[in-house]
Amino acid sequence: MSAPNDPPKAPAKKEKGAAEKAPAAAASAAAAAPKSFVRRDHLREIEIRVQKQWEDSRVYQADVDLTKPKFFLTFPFPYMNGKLHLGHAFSGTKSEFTARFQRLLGKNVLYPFGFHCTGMPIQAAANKLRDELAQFGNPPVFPDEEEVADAAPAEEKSAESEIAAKSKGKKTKLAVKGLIGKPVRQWDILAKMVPVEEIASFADPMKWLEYFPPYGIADLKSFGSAIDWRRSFITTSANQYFDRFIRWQFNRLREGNRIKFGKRASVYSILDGQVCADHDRASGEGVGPQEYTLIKLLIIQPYPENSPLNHPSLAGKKVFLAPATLRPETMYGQVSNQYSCLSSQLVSLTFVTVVCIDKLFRVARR
Amino acid sequence: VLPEGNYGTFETTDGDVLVMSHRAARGLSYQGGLKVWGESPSLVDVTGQDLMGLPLMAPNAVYDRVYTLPLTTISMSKGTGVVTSVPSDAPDDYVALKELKDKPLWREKFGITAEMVEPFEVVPIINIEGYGDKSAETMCVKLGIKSSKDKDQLKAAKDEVYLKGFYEGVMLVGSCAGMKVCDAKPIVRQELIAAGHAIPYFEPENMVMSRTGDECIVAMVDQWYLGYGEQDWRDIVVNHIHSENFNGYNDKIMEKFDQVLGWLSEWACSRQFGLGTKLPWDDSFVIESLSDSTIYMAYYTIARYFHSEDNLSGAGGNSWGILPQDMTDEVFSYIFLGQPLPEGYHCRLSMPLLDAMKAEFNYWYPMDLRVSANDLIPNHLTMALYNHVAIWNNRPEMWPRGIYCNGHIMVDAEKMSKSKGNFLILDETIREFGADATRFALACAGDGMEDANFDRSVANQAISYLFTEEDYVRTVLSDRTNGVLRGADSELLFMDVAFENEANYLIEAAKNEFTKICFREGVCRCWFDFIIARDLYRDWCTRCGIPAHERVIMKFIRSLVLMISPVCPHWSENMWTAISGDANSSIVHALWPEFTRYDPLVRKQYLFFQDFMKNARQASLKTNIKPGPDGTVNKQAEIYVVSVYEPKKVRLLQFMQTLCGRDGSFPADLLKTTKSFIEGDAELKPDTKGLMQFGAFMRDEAKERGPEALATEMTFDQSAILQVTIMIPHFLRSVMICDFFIRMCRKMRRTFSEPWIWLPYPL
Repeated sequence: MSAPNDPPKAPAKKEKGAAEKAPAAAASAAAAAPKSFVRRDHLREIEIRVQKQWEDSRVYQADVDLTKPKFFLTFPFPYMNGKLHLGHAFSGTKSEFTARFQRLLGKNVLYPFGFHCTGMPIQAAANKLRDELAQFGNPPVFPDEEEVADAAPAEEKSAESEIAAKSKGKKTKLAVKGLIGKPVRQWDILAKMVPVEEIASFADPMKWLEYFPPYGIADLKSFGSAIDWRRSFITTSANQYFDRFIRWQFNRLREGNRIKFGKRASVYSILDGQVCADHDRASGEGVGPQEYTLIKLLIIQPYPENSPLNHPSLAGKKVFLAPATLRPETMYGQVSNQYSCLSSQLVSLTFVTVVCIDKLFRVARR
Repeated sequence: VLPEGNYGTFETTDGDVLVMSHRAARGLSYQGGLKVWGESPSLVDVTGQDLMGLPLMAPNAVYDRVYTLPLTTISMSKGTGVVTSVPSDAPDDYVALKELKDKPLWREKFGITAEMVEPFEVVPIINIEGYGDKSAETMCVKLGIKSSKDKDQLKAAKDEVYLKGFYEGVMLVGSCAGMKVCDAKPIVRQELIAAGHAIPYFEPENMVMSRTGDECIVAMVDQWYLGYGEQDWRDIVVNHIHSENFNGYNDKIMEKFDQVLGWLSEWACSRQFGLGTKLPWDDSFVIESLSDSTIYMAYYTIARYFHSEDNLSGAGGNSWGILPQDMTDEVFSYIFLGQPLPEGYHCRLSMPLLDAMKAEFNYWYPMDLRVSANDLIPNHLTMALYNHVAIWNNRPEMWPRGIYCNGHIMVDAEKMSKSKGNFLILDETIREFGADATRFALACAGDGMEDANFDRSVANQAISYLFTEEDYVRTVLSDRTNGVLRGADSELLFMDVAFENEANYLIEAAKNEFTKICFREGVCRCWFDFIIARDLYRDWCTRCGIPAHERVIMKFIRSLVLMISPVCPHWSENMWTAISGDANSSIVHALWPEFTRYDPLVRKQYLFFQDFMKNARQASLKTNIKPGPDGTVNKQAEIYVVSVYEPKKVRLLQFMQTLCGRDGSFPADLLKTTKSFIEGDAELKPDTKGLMQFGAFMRDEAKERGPEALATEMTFDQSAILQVTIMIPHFLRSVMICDFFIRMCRKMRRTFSEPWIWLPYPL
């Protein structure tokens, strides 16, 4: 065991290397060189004692106090499909430090913290687990094969889904999945976060709403957050008070004519059978619909003798090539009588191609 | 025929048949473009090769016969797999057409004959000033693009032509001839569609994958949507964030908000699937997750009436007996909007209770600050602004007062990822470093919108810092108890004054940084710089054998503990109890350390002393004189003190004095005028570089200390500071000399016999 006065840099480096291979906490224990935790444990002891003190004296419960200027600050409530990570903590420090700093400036500070459960991910993950249990039993025995006919897993935004998003079309996606190995199972995702005997109960989305928020509270308390926990809540209709609050909000929006109804081009998932908003996406946040114009170019008959266009199902029908363009204004000449007076020269040729050059050559060789 | 590269033939609602990729047809079917909604059966499949060389007729022009040609750069995953060729304005098309014309062998591969391409010349449609009528040709010549393989250049050419063409191009043909392209585009499109020559088609701008693993399309869907982007609504939001009532903290954040407000438009807020609240007037729809989180900050202000830490859903009841059904629209409007309850409205809750909730809301609102990672600007944060403006219509005093955004966190300079093993869960991180050290490293991770870096070695170092400083604080406290310190009323020596002055400076600087939500900078001031100053003071005390001044050193430990308390509250709380000696006194109720405005002159003297010691030590180390066998050093120093600037600098200072305002500010073009002043003077000109540096330095000095910084004579007596008897032992010991002489001189001598030391000021 090294003396408590060792320079801090040396052990830190050793630990960094080790931590890359294993989960952080375990890594330091497993680090090759023995490392003293005396200082850390000393500080941690103080932390736990002080937290208890704060808890008992309810110092962060903020009430109206007209003698003091107030400061009300918030942090976007995290989504409750897992535990809080360092990303939450980092953004959270901006509000957490500010809450404490504003107190030092003599303000009456309110820093509340809620938990978000609205939307698809929890529901989708619960459904997927339910399907896995139905198909493979409880506990599930997953087959060894690489691919299943199922849709890809609903999971958090991860490197895998990023790669999948970058790939084009379904084939590549499957290929990428093949590279990564077996499909990710909801069961396995949960197994990393919750006790095995409880996993099955997560097939009910309500279980997520009950399970994760208390961990959020516990972690933030252990972080020493200056939060007024009396004001914490979960969203969705599982919280009837909040549900009514949102209904009130939407009635007001409608009253103010800020909300409307109609057919709108929206990014849509056929599999989900509904619009796919930012937070329902594994990738492609902020992407909206792009408006193209399909130009109808009539294929002049008769078709060449061996053309598949002579197929009886097309008999008597006009067949058009349908290029999609973002520049309809450059099509103008094509449909303009004025243009046809100019000359028989053409403004617009039409290109057709097959997927890639390689295939094109093969076609050509035949 | 190969099965790959297939096109299908799809029947539309009016019986026509369209040839396009299956992928595009699938999307089109969800936009009502095909016969049956959501179905895209192909009547017969064809390959690209089947279509090659087919004669086509563009609508309305009987003799306008064109041919289907190959283009190898099309992606089947974008558009319909069929594109029009506009060689006049699209560089890709221009090059492809040229290749087909110039390379008979190439076109024969696809069965394309000469008459299908040769008669066709590039026809002008759009004139772009500076690019002519055939901008694509112009660009290809300009960039030397020869072949369709020059992909990067083609992309550059396309981007440039497209942008220029859209904003500056003028139509040469058609009913819109003479109009700008950006104005003509929607009109031409509408004409084409109305005449039945075209149909609208949508797809996502980029690939979108749903969390269920589905590649998304664009569908025309019946839905409820919020009219973000509507002019009257948007204008209010824009005006608010640029008003005095809104703090955007930095220009980058504001810039991003301005951008987003420029494009954020209609937002579908309803879903058929998922958890949430149903639309009050149509329970087949659920409100989606971004739309139910825009004004919930108001709910926090009264949430304690329904919830508690272990009653997050409210199902556990509350001590006021409020039931969900008591919270009607009327009641919410009473609390949040101050609207009276309708006449005859029966409310089960008592009016004092409603009034208490209303008062609580009115006390806390508006929200003073919301913080988030910057990725929420394009959606959540902007929507929150829109909704506040809509719900609290015409009540700007209820709209958010400030939004701060931070960048994303990296771990040890790498993106957090599960596969790399650096995905840090909060509770594990706390277990590894403790809360305060984790918080310390997060404070040091970064300010502003750039990516921040959580460095695990910093977290480990923080453990050391806290441990060491606790030790220090306790030592000071026991010294006080033991009466070892110099009495709080005793005379202040130079170092006491200087250190206290530095404390004042750092307390103020840290406060400014924390106010700006720049915690890294703030921690540098209130922790690192403060400790450096303390070290110098402690060093002086030790070497001179003078105990620390009680009032000064107590101010240091108190201020250190207070200022770091936002970041390391547990440590500070523990230290606070030790300092106050009162177990019931909590730092949570304490105030920011008091400070008086620091004295810039004292600070300059202090920095002078600090710099001087550094230079002297370095000069001393350069000598070859080693300590004797008995450990004593037989080394003397000569110190040359110059108290006037050299004549050239004096000239420049005199010039700068004429431009300096009373507050020490200068005109914006100071450096420019200074330069021409120096260059206009034959004597100064050879030293332009050095004098410019000096000028810039003095400009900053004047900004900080006012016009007196430009005095041509030193504003304090440097040698006096060195000769303060109390400083001498410190100086001798830390520079490792046994004696020194001070020589005043008018001019810096160029050569010195060793050992020598000169003073850093004036420059």
